[in-house]
Amino acid sequence: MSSALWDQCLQRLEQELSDQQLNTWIRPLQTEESNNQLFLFAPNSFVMDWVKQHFLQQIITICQQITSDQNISISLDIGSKNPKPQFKPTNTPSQPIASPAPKQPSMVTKPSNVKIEHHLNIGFTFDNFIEGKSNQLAKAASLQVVENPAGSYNPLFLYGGVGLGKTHLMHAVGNQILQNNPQARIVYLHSERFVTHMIKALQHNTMDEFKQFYRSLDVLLIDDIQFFAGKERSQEEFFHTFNALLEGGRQIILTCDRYPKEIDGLEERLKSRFGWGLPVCIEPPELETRVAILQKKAEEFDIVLPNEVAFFIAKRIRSNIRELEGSLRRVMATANFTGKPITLEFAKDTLRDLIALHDRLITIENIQKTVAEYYKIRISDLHSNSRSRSITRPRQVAMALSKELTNHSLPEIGNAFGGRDHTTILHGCRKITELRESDSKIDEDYTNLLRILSN
Amino acid sequence: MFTQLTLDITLKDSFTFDNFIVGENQLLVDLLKKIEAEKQIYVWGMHNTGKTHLLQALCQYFSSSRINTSYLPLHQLINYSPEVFYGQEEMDVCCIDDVQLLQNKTDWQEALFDLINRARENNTRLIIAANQPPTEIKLDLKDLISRLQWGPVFKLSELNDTGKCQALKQRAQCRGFDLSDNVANYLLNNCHRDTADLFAVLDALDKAQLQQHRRLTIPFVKSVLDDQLR
Repeated sequence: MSSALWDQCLQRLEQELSDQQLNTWIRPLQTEESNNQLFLFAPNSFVMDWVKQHFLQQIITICQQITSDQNISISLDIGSKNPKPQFKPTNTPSQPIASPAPKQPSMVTKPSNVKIEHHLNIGFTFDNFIEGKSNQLAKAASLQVVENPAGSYNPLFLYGGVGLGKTHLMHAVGNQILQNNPQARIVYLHSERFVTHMIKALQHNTMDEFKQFYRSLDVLLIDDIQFFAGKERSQEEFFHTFNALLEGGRQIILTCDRYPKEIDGLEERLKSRFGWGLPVCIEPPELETRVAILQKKAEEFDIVLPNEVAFFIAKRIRSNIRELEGSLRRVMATANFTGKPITLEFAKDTLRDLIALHDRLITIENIQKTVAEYYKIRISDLHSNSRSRSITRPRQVAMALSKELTNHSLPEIGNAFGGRDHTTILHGCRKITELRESDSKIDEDYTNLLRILSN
Repeated sequence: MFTQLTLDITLKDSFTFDNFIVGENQLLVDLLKKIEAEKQIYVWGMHNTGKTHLLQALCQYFSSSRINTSYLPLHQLINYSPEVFYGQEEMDVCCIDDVQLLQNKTDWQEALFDLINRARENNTRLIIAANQPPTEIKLDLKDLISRLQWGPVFKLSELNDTGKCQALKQRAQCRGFDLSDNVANYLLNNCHRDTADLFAVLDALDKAQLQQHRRLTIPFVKSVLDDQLR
């Protein structure tokens, strides 16, 4: 619930501040109001300090005017009125980031020994992990870990390029172990979170709790450990956690973008320990696997994806699965909004700018070159004074394309065509518009050139 | 000859959907307005295609429905600290503008990377804008590039001449005068047709007509433009 006082205050601020000030500093503030008190919450200390410095006095004045009360209390703090729940596939309640009690908003993320938030994404399972040559070994090793946690593959070290499914596999192991044993203490976290958690523990003098928490786990999943590079204190702490868990017969799974030995800025002793278990590589998926991934995603989104469309996307997007998913989402969103069926033509049209990013490179010179090649004439003919029909038409087509595809002014376009007057360019463009209506050959040429230039 | 001084009042140009000329971007605008549609959308477009306007309009639009939304313009914030990304996952929607400015800024890239991860977990909607597609921005952090491609990537199409003409007339109206079709077309045919350049010309014309107590006719416009070129 937003407060009435804040609404009125906001209306006044809307008159006094620029849209950018409002959107960046004021509108993101969360508010709560009770008994002549207005509590404002900023997402972080940077925003809080900025608001304090630049707008707080103004807010106070406005509120005093609205309420005719000089003693109204307005406080500004970091936090969130209603912290959003993390994804919670679990029966354990999520930890609030800030206290919902408005009197003393504070950042509290205290590890609990009783109930833990595992941060696993239930969407990542073995069932929807598409297996191919590129990831066969990694999947087999992960299944082994599920069968026999803390067995021979400990730590399981999954490495490979970005967006290839390392995180997916890691969550799948966690979810499966949890399903087999709902009591298992499992935590997934990104290495950055480990670092933040440790820094907070250091600040609040709660290192013992921190150590106790991590060393009490059955399975620890840490993503992207390359981000430990250069963070010596975190490495030190992680080293001890790592040893304690391993000695206690607990499972560790790590992901990284490269082989352990290749991580610069990581202590040798950690590199060597990471290699103790099984380092296994995930390679970029081959075409058939990419097609299968798209089909699986389409199935999850409950849409029918014709095979030729899946092949079309998969052939063009090779680098990573996130981009594959992004492209599919774009095709789906467009189909949803336009109500059109997903066909090959439709996908080509939708992804045109994504797949061929060349239209940024469109220059008048480029247009002239393409038009000259298309009509098999020389570029110099386009600049010349020749009035032969075989030259004037292509020249006019090039002029019209320059006007449509670039931002140059008509005099600038005129200059690029051998110093012609801007009225000549205007005439040329009009002529082509007319001819496209009456002469299908010209229309076809123009459409072809447009396609060539923007592909 | 003395020129009359005009009162230097900067007009507040508001960025809302009311004055956003959609042109060929209807689908993208519809998608952005639908909060539950996609959790991450990347919008790119050349300089002056209206990205900033679009993102701010979105902020205003969501905020008016009590959807907690923030707008982070990196051209302004990049001089400060990446700390501004902290806690943004507590927003319902977070719009980040000018992501291309993160080139060569490793700490900022890592901070955005972390924010994207946290936003995913928290179900926060991220709208990211830049002047180039994700693969073309020269970012050191490959993990970030792949995450920028997670959701659909859309190109914001530039306005065509009809749209630009409409934008010019609308802007003139905001400044309290009418721009005739003739003059608008004259500007489109004789000036560089980048929207920002056209707006700058329009502002110069506005100032000139106030100083010289003239109406905006083509001969007058021509003389002002000639003066500017001199």
